Amino acid sequence: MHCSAGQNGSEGANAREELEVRQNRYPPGPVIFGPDQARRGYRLNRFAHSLIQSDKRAEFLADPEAAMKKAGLTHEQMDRVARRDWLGLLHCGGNLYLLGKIAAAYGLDLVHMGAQMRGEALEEFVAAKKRRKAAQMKRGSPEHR
Amino acid sequence: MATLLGGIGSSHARSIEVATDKRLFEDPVWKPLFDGYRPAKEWLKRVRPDVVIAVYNDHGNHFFFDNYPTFALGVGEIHGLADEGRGRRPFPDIKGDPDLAWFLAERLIADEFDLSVCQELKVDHGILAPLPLLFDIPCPIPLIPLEVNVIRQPLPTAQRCYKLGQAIRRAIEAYPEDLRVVILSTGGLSHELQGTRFGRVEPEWDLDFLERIETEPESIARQAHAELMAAAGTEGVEVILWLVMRGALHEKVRCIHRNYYEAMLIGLGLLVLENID
Repeated sequence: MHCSAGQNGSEGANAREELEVRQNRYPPGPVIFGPDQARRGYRLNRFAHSLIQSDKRAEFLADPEAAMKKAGLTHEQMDRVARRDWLGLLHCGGNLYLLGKIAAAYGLDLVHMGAQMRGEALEEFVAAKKRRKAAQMKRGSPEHR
Repeated sequence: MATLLGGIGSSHARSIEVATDKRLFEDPVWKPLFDGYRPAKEWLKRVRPDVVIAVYNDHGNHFFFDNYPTFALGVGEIHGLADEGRGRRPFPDIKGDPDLAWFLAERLIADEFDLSVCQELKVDHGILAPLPLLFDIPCPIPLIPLEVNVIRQPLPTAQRCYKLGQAIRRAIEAYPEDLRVVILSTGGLSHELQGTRFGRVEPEWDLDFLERIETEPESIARQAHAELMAAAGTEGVEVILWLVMRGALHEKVRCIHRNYYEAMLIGLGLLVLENID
């Protein structure tokens, strides 16, 4: 089961709808990874950590559900992995850097995760950042001192 | 007696590795960053260190939460590279310095810094990202990795990091060999990579930090993690690693070079400080 990198792309409207749902569900801002998160997310994070081994990545991609079941993830966690719901995964104990291993297995980058967390299409997020950079460069890179 | 010549603070980011591997040195987006590192590389060539102590944080690569050390020191002959989830990057292993590293372990623990001592430690982009911007590759001098937990709370305090640096200074000064040492701390500056404010960068805070870490590091050492996170983003708390480098240096330092570049997801800072006798 491969995820196309464009999953955040053409579905901007859906992403925004999802965000509205999530904003009622999760408070805005970060999820600090401390004891509560570490306890709730231990199996999820341990599973994610296993994906730094290439054979575990192959096993996961061949049959995600079986691999996640074997690793003892909750149904909620498995569902959110399948939906690439990174914000939801943060809120059920996932650590950002470990979740990054799951994203990497899917061939996704940090920006894919971030756009989803913000509830934006990837292109939307990247375009805004590019506009910011272009404006800075036009001003003659004032940040260089 | 070993001599600490100076210290370098540098951000680390996987995007720098990608840009390096793709050789985007002249790419308009990346050129300012790569150019910005040249004076640092030149300084290193000029002062000719024999060894570099590299303070960084692991990203769930060598270490996992089954046993995540607050401080860990790599004392091995060779430090391998971690597969961070995308296959091993084509990059040579890093040579260690077991003599100085074991000496540091003994001295720091005697000085009440009870760090984990690792005879095998695979390093990740926390060290590798800035390395080719500072040294020729393969790195011509040995490197001693010192890992600090900044990814799972409870984290060591900023003050503790500063004091660890001071203990490193005492240990280096006590080392009997005539060795030229440089300390590098990586991490920061502002970034927030999780939650609904993903991608937040605070250039004004970053520039102020670059000033304060040189001239009034205690003002940063006094800050609580929550304060740093509020100002510099949650992952911006990595700047406490720079306090290890700054704590190891003399109170009076000379700024050799400073660079700042706002990348897409992070404020990339660079600072080269030389000890004044």
